[in-house]
Amino acid sequence: DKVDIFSESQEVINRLEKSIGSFFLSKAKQELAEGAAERRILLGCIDNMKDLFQNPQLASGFWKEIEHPELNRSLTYPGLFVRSSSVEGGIRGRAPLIGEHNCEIYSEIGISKDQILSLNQAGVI
Amino acid sequence: MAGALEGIRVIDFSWVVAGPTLTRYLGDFGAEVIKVESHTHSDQMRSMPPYKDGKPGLNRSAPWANLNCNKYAVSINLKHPKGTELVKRLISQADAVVENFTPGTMDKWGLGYEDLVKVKPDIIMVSISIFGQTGPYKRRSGIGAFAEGMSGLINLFGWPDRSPSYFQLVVGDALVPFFGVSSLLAALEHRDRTGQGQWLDLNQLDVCSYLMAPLLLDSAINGREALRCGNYSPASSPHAVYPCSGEDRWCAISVSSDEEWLNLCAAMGDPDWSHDPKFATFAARTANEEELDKLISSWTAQFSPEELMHLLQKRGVPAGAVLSGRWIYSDPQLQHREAVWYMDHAEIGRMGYYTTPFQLSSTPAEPRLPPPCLGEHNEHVCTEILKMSTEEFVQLFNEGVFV
Repeated sequence: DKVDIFSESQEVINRLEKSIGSFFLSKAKQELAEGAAERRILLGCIDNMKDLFQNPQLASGFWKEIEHPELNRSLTYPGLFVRSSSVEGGIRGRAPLIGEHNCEIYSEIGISKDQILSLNQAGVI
Repeated sequence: MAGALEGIRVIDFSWVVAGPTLTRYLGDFGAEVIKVESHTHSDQMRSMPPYKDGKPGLNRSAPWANLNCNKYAVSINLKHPKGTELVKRLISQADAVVENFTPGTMDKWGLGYEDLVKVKPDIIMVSISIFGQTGPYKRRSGIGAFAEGMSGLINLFGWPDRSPSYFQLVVGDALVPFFGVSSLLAALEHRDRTGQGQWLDLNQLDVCSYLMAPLLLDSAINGREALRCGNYSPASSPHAVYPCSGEDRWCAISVSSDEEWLNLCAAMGDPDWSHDPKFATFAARTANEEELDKLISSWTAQFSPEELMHLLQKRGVPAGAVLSGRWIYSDPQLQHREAVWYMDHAEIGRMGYYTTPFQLSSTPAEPRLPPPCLGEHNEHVCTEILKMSTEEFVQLFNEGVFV
């Protein structure tokens, strides 16, 4: 019998889901995913954060180790949202400390070290 | 008015949602986007109801139309050798190619990145997929929901005492285009500086997983696993949607400070229950949130969402009406923002299209073209863009290149 899930009653849906559901309950998530992939059945897992760290598809290229000298360690970040054939992209470094790049940026726009010092003493930067 | 992306030409093989949304943003800002389809392989979205007057047709689908305005369309038979040749000729005069087929499909047609680079060395190809162009899952079939599930997103939605709920939006399909636009613009800028093109692998798994950064770090460093929490927030209490007058109408309220809490109490007329110490602090309110929400709901039910929103905002309490359907069209802020463009279409007639959700002051997005009928611009693209003679165009037509 044909079932149109968009117009079927909740009772019928519940009955269908119960029988499919008991099959799912008998298998581990990974086993279901691998079995479905082999048989070309569309099945998607609901994963949590721990699962992401184990995900073999993300394992290559997605994660980046970022140094945190202020914590004396490096942390694993999700490193990119797009991959390129020829250009390196994604996260380069951790979020900045307040005013961390004062000297670097101000000198780029032509403010001398002495000026930076006076501005700092005057409470401007 | 010339758009910000005037002069950029994009050959668009994409279909359904993610790719066409990306290319629509490009077309909105003046890029010349040329959709490549055929009558045997048209954009699947063309078959998505609702249709104009409920009558199916390849040029009558409302959701397809909304995603495909500001584009041209050609119908080319890619199985015909002259069809592939014609497409390559188009690509040789283009800046970018966008596609979202299962990885390997474009290669099969002789239109993979390695093939395109021979035709135009600095071409930028954007390939959108669910899992990516490489890796153990690259050949797996999937839908957007799989990336949303695998990235941990779906696990966050719903109530703590129930299994995960799904959300009606296609989050991956909606987000990937934004990352795609910025990546493509960066690639164009890189090409202008260095002459180097590239192949961009943009996939829903990477994009949705990338969003999880704070939760991933919390898990890795603090050993804390993010849990489902309904509408609650770790930083605000009360924080929920409350019932209003009318059928299925709601208003969201979020209190993030004691000051906002006192403002809310004042707005409610300082009822006795609001003085109870079990609601006096953030911690206390969080501990008694279910009871608190019931009490607030008994007050909110008398107002429409719009009345409640304005009343509370005037009192310094963050509140927002929950809108849907016709309520969106009549919202004064959205009207002011011209959130809907109206254009005439040959088969659909007059229809509203969602405006681009981001704007530029000097070169705003504009409604330039209604969505194209299948193969509508075959002659225009061949004779005006490729400068083909009418004779050559007719010859190709007779050979069955345009189907």
